[in-house]
Amino acid sequence: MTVFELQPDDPWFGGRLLRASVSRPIYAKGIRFALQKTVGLVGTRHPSPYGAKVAYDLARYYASLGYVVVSGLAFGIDEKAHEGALSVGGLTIGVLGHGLGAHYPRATLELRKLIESQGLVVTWYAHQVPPRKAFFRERNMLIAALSDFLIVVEAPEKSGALVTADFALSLGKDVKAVPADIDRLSARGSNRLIVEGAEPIIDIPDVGAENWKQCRTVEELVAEVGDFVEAGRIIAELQSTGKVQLNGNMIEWLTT
Amino acid sequence: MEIVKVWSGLTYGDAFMPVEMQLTYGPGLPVFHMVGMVTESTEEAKERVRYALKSIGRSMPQGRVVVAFLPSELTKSGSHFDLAIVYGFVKGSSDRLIVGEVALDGSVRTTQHSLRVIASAYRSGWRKFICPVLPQDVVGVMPEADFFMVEHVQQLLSDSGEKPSPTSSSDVPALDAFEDVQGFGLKQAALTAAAGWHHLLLMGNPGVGKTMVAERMNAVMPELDNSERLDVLCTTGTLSAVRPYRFTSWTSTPAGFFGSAKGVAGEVTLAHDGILVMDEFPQYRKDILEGLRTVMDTNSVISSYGNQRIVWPARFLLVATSNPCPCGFLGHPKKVCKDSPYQVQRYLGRLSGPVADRIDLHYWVKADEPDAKLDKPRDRVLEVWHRQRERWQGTGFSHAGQIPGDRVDELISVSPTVRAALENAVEKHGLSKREKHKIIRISRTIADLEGHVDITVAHLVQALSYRMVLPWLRSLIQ
Repeated sequence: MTVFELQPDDPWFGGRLLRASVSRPIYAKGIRFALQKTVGLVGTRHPSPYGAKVAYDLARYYASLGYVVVSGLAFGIDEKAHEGALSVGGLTIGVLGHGLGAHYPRATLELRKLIESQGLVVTWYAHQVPPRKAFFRERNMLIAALSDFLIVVEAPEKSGALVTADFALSLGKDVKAVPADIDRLSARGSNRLIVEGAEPIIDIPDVGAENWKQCRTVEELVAEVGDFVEAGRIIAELQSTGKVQLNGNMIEWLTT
Repeated sequence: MEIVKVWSGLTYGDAFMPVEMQLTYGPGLPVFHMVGMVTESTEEAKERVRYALKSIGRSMPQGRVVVAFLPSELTKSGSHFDLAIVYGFVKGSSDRLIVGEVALDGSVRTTQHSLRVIASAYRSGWRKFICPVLPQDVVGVMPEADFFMVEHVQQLLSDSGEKPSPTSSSDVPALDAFEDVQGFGLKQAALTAAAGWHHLLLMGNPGVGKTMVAERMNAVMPELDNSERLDVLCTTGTLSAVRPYRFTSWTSTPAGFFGSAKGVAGEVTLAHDGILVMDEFPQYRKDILEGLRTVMDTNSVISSYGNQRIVWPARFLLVATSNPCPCGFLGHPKKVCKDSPYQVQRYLGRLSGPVADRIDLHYWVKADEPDAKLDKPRDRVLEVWHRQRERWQGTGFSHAGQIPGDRVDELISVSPTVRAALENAVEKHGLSKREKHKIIRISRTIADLEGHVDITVAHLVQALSYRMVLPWLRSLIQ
């Protein structure tokens, strides 16, 4: 967990910041993992249960495909996106609207510490700079710059997530949106994005589920999903939903 | 003036306290005094003794009669001192421990408390007793004891007379068949819990048979061995061939649950060496759930009341059952949970408190789980018990589930590949140390059940699947 300073032309960014014509240095804390493909997940701080679940599942999906999930470490959708990525042992970047020495909102401090140990937290601002309203707009710009494409999960009209989407569009990046109920105020912005041409996300593919079905023993499952914690989680879920039965180390699939 | 000395005793929790009784009489107005903090039940011995003596043609000594109970500062209660007083009057001093209640017709009887006194005295080294006629199984748990059993006080007088033989043992109660439980995975989980003495939490929607499993767990538990039976006799005063089994309700009060310092054992003690079922676990009062923590760590209960302090044994296998949420339908294949996420969080929060942290195995019980017969479940459990007892001989632990976290690494050896997988999990998934220890403990029992010498990664996965039920439920909250 080291703090380090990166210039926009640092090869680590893969030219993302240069293309966004950024000239300021970036302060970062965490692990300097390889930044290959990235996805930005943003949305409201007050999501519906539906939005929160979709954010979590989408982050899981992309993280398990090897994407780095970029979000803003705010309450709500951002938080769920980071959690989802971490839940599959994926990589995630939290972008702050203040210096590394401060934190806002307090509710995500625990999550931030987790990200610092397993991912990366980045910001424009020097160590002790406190959060200010205008900074969060600039923070959104950084999210858009770091993401290869952006997904707006749930956002009302006049949302910071829409600002991020505007930045992404102006940088020539794809923006996708998650459709939601038409009478839900907290989703009017994201629904409107679809009308304006954003690609709607209508499905979250179940990564690897098909592959697991080939597994006949616990050892095979471990080999398939990579480690035993994930395998145990999968077994607990499949067993609890009545899809498999474990007999010693044999996995018996039950037809439903 | 002659002073007659006889011995009887008291129990403190399950500890024994010998009581020396000195009897004397002399000139004075005719009174019968008992001194030494005697309570009503003991004091009433006066009348029972008087008429019991009359039944064999004797009478109380004339004049001023005094019986002193020593040490005199302890409260004496119970009717089991009667026989000692009678013996003192008709035979004089004795160094045997005399326990038993007498009736007006001179017959000598057993009380629950007198059995506890005999058993705890035996455990603290007493070997010679004069007592009522005991059942065969009670005599059996104290093989070194020399019992002089009397049915009637008359028999105290005739040493040469025919000795009564022990009565037949009480019938073995029939256990509900474990095979009635539906669901192969469920039976596996119950078997693992019984085999490694892992506390078990059964979760599920209402009506899927959580309680029913809890009730049938006793059928796979091996029988009590002799020293355990002696322990049970010391604490409860009753003896059964099957393990103690206590089904408790969330309406229990702390005194009823943990026992009182006045000498009444609580549920946790009555379940000693057996199964304690806590139905609807999250509904229990907070003070019970908090208090249970120390009980489970020390395997004993301390109850203090005034200047009395009683330590009860309480080493039980906890089987808790719980709904997943207040309405009960979270995780149901068809029905929808009507609770708010906050309500569910709060409910599940009670399942991750300090006590729930000490429960190793979690299992989600389903209504239509496919079933298959388990082969000789009880024998397999017994086999694991033997194996684990042998492995940890001399360490003070006999089951994997009883090993505390700080000794897991020392007592359960793990192969380098498994160790590497565990370390990787700790690093990658932020697995806590406590969680890691639980997984190792459960894996050890699973490996033993399958007859493996070494823990494999497959065992870790199975153990982990028993730890991932709550995270799965949390992921369903919307």
